[in-house]
Amino acid sequence: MTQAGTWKVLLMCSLLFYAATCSGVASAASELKLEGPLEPVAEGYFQLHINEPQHPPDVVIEQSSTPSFQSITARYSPMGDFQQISLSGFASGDYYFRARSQEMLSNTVHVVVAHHSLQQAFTLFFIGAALFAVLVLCILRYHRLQQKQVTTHHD
Amino acid sequence: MTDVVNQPEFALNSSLGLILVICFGLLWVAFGWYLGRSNKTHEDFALAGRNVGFAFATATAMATWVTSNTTLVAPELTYQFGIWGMVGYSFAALGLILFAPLSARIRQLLPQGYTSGDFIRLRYGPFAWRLFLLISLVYALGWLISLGMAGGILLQALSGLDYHIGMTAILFICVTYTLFGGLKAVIATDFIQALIIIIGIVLVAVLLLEHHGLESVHEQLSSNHPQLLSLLFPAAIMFLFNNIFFGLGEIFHSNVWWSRALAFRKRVAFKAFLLGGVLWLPIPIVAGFIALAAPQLGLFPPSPDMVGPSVAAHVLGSFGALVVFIVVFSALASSLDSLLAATSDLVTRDVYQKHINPTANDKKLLRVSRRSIVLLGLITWLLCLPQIATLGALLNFTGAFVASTIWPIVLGLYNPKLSGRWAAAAMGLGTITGLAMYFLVGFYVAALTACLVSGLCSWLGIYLSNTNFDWATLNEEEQP
Repeated sequence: MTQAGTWKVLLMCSLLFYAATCSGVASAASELKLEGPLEPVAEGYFQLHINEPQHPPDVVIEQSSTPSFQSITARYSPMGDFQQISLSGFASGDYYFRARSQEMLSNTVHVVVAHHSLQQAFTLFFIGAALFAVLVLCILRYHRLQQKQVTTHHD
Repeated sequence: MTDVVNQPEFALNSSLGLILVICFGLLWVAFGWYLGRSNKTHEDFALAGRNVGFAFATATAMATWVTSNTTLVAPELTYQFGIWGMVGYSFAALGLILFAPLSARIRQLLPQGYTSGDFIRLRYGPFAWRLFLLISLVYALGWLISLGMAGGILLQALSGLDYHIGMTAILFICVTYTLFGGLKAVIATDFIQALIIIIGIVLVAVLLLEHHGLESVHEQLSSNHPQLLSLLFPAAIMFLFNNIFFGLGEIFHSNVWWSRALAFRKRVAFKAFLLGGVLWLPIPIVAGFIALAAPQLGLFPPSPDMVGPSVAAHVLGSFGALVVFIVVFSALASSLDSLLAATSDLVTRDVYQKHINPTANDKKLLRVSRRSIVLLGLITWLLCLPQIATLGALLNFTGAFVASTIWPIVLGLYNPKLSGRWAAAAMGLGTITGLAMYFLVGFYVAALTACLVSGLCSWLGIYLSNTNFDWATLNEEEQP
């Protein structure tokens, strides 16, 4: 590659890097908005995204088992100035979340957790176990045969 | 009601994070340059002269497998799948353990071999070889991207430093020292990095237990995140064997491991892989355990792959963050350099020498090898710029590809009846099925289904076969 070519590549890389680092700056919203998974969650973990322009330090996500939020079952605070939060370990059921920042309240996000059936899980588990057992036996048997052949050859 | 409000701040400030990256970078680059001075031929550069002893061999086997996958994805999967995630991840050690007998066979069958591609080409012919190369390159790129991303995520979680700066720094450092030192530098740095990783992870776990204990963690999980402690967690049950097959596929097919099997001294490979696997087994348990403390600490990361370093840094303060930084940075570097070196071998040998310039001399191959490292680094960097998925999801996408190679590799090494046509069909159909299941069910079934379909296809091929492969064909003499 010529020197001019190298400089062109470096310049292009710098522009891409600049574009990538600055891409988050452009988006801005006018109100506190909370976004969550739209489909039922089959694994018990999901992410909630806070859509807020100013990154205030006191954003808290409230969790309740009812849409009216009569009792708050948990509160979560995002790390640093991140606007996203990952939650996990939820049993099957309905969960309601909203974000609170000082006096502002966000919309309510309804998350449905519906785990896969245990029958489906164990079917795959036993298929995996059987396949693994066959593979291990196969490798051990071939290895032993091979060792025997090498020993016979040396004798 | 559980009130878990707090506002965690970053354990290190951004400037300190950047200074640490620069210091470590200079250290590894200088070391790579020092070790690479004696590389005279392409064989020195690519296979460390085929003369690696037991201690270095064991350390490199273990350290290369302690990747961002272990230090970042093990906590991520524990955070998502609880106890099963932690235990299931540690079963990836079976990949190293079961590769031990295969490595002895590889050393025996291919005394002049360079890459896993060499084996597939000679054993199964050009069509299966090209399909295998495609699978290998998709996997290598997926892993490289995940490592680059992990560098950025690590610094972001510990110091709030912009993701793109951390990612760029780690890629630049690893490309530079692999470029200077080749496999010799990779293996030597792996040895030091393995020591750092073991000491660091044990230190974090001990300090965590001393500061917080198990009871409070268990109490918090039981009341608010019960699935993490449940042994009847459906997705996690599905994940268990999937992760085993993913690990097996990664190791069995990848030139990272084949180049080591070919670089180790004769009779060393079997013992080194076996011991490396046994030593690796407890590491994900320790790394994963710290993720279970996250809810009790009120730590809920923006992305689950940030949970490991975030918890350690939060609990142990600046000192803990420093330890975590050194451990994860070492883990990342030990994998990134190995992968860069092994993939550049594959590109040089299987793509350039066998497809483009068969008469290339040693000097030319060495030059192409170095250029491939730079090119791979650049492609990885470009693909890392957008954070396309979490580390776990990205890695498991490649699981559909690699798990389809398990049976063709195992049967190809021992059973002369499997033909190239059936091996190619096994890899192709296995990959397609795995990818379909990845999107239809979830990432935690891709490798399992790919391996199942590939296995059925391979055994059907043997059952219907009337070929008998001549093993002597594999001992390919190099052109003078």
